[in-house]
Amino acid sequence: MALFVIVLVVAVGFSLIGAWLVLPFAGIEIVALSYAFYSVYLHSDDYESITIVGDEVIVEKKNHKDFTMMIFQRYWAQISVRDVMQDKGKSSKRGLFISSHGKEVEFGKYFINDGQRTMFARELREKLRNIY
Amino acid sequence: MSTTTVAHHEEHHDHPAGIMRWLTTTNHKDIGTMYLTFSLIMFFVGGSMILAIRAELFQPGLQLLNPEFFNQLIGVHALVMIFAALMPAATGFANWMIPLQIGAPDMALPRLNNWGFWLLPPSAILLTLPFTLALFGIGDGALATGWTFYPPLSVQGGIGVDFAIFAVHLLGISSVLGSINIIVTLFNMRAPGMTLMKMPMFAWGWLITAFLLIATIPVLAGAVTMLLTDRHFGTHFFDAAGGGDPIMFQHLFWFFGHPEVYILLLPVWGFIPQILETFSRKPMYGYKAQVYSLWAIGALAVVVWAHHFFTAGMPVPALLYFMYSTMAISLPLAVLFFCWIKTMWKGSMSFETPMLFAVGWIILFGIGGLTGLVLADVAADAQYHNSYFVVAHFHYTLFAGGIMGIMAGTYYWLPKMTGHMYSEKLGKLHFWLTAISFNLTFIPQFFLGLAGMPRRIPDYALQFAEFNMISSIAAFVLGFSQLLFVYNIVSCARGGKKATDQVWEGAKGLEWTLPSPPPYHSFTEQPTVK
Repeated sequence: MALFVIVLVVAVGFSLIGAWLVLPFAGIEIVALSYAFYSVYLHSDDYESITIVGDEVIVEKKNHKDFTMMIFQRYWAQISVRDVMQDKGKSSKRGLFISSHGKEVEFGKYFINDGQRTMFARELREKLRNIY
Repeated sequence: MSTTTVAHHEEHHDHPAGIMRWLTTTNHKDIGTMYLTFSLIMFFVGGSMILAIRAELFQPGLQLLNPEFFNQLIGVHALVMIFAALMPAATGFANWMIPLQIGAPDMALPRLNNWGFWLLPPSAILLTLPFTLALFGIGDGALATGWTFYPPLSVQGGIGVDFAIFAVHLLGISSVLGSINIIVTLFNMRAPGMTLMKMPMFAWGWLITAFLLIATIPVLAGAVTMLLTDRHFGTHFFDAAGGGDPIMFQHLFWFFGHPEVYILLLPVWGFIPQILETFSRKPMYGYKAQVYSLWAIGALAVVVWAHHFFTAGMPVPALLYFMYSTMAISLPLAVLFFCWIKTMWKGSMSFETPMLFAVGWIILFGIGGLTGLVLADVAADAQYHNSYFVVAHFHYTLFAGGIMGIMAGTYYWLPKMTGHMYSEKLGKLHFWLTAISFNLTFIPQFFLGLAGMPRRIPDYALQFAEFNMISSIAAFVLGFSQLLFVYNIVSCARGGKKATDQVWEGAKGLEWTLPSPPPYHSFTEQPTVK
C-alpha cells in the first residue's frame, strides 16, 4: 500500500506541474502490481493431498475456489502412471491416476515432474499394499 | 494415518530441449542464465563503442569519427551499458539466486519472468538499429543527445531519438515486470521461518531496488512519451516557444535517473557483504544497520534528483535543499562502508578472485562516493559540471561500483551455477588487469575535468593531450582484459574441477545447501529456516 501511495503522490505531483502523461503509466503499473499480488493470493492455499486412514484413501485437491475430495477403498484403489494429452493438446506428458469402481482422479498434475511422478506412484503402491 | 501434501506451483516440469527450451522457459535458472548471457554480450557491444570513442580521443583533432557519429556512440554506449548490460546482470543474479536464497522452488510469476527477459533483445535492437539503417541511407543514425534525451536537442533530433524512446519503453516494461515478480516472490515465497529480517542481504538489496523501479519508471515513461508527442504530435511540453518548459524534462528525467544509480548499485551492495563474510569466515557485521541503511539510501534516492543540474538555474533555497539532501546520503553509505570493513576485521581472510574483486570494489567505489560528495557541493559543482571530472566520478560508481561488483558476484556464484571451478589464476589476472587499467583510464580523467575539459566532445585543446593518451591506452587494456573474463566463464561452463555443494569454506545460506549445479527443480522439499 505504501508503494502505491508513493507512486500516486509522485504521479499526481508531476501532473500538477504539467507532466500529466506520468499519470496513466503510474496507473497501469499499480494495476499490474495489484493483479500480481491478487493472482498469487488466489492460489496461495492450493494443495493436493492423499490421506490413508484405515480402509480409505482420501484424495483432496484445492485449486483456488474449487475443492474436490474423493474417497477410494484402499484394497481396490489402482495407481497408474500413463501418457496424457496436456491442455490445448500441445504436448504429451505423464499423469498419475488413482482409480477404483469407475472413479478416477489425476494427482500432482501441476506440482511434480515425470520422474517424481513415477517415484511417487511406486511409494504410494507400497503404502497401499501394507494393509496391516 | 499418513498424509502427502504437494504445494502448488506453476507447471514447468516437462521442459522442452533445444531452442524452445530457451524461448519458452519459465525456469528461474534458465531465465537467469539468459539475462546474464545477454548482459555479457551487451557489455562488449557497449564497450566496443567506447573503445571507438577513446581511439578518437587518443590525440587532439578529428581522426576517425565525425562529431555526429561520436555523439551517437556516446549516447548509445551509456544506454546500452546501463539498461542492457548492468541492469540485466543484476536481474540475472536475482533470477538465479533469490529463489535459492529464500528456499523457493521458483519465482512467483514464472511466465511474467519469461516475458520480462524477451523484451530485452528487441529493445537492444531498437537502440542500435539506427546505426545500421544509416548505412542504407535511412535516417541519420542513433540518438545523438547523450543518454539524457535533453530537449530541445532531442525534439529536433532524427529518427534515432524515436527508436531510443521505444527502446526505453520496452526496457522500462521489462524492469517493471521483473520488479513486480521480485516483490511478489519475496513477500509470498520465503521458506518457513525466514522472516524479513532473516532474508539474505542480496534479497534486501533487490527488494529496495524493485521498490525504486516501481516508483520511478512511470516518470521516465511519461517523460519520453511527452518527448515523443512534442516531436510528432504538436504538443509543447518542453518547448519554451509554445509555453512549455525544457527544464521540466530535466526534473522528470533525473527523478528517474538518480534513483537509477541506486537501482544499479543496491543489488551489488546486497551480495558484496555476503562475499565479505564468506571469505572473512565470520558473520556479517551489522546486518540490521545495513538493512536500515539500504532503506535510508532508497528513500533519499528519490528526493535528491536536481543535483544533476545545479547549473540549469534554480532558486537558492532549492539549491541548498538538494545539496544538503544529497550530502545526507553519505551518512547511511558511511554506515555500510563501516559494516563492510568491520565484517573483514580480524577475520580469517583469504583472497580468492571474488574477494579480490570485493575488496577492490570497496576502495574504488569509495573513490566514486567521495568524488560524488564533491559534486554535491553547489559552489564546487559550478566548476565541475559537465566536465571530465563528472565522467570519471560516475565511472568509479558505475564501472567500479557496478560492473566490478557484478564481476565479484559472477566469480562467487559461477561454481554454484555451473558445477565447476573457474581458473583462479586467470581470475586473479583478470582482477589485477581490470583494477590497474581502470584506474589508469579514469584517474587522468579527474585531472582533465579539473583542468576544464568538457565531456561529450570529439576534439580538445592541446593541453589535454597527454592525459587523454594515457586514458585511451588504458581503456584498450581494460577492454581487452575482459576477454579473460569471458574465457574463464566459458571454460568454467564447459568443464573443469568439480565444485562442491558449499563451494567456499565460509559460505552460508540456503543456496549452498543445494548441489552444484542445482537441479532443474530446486528445493523439491521446502527448507525451514531457524
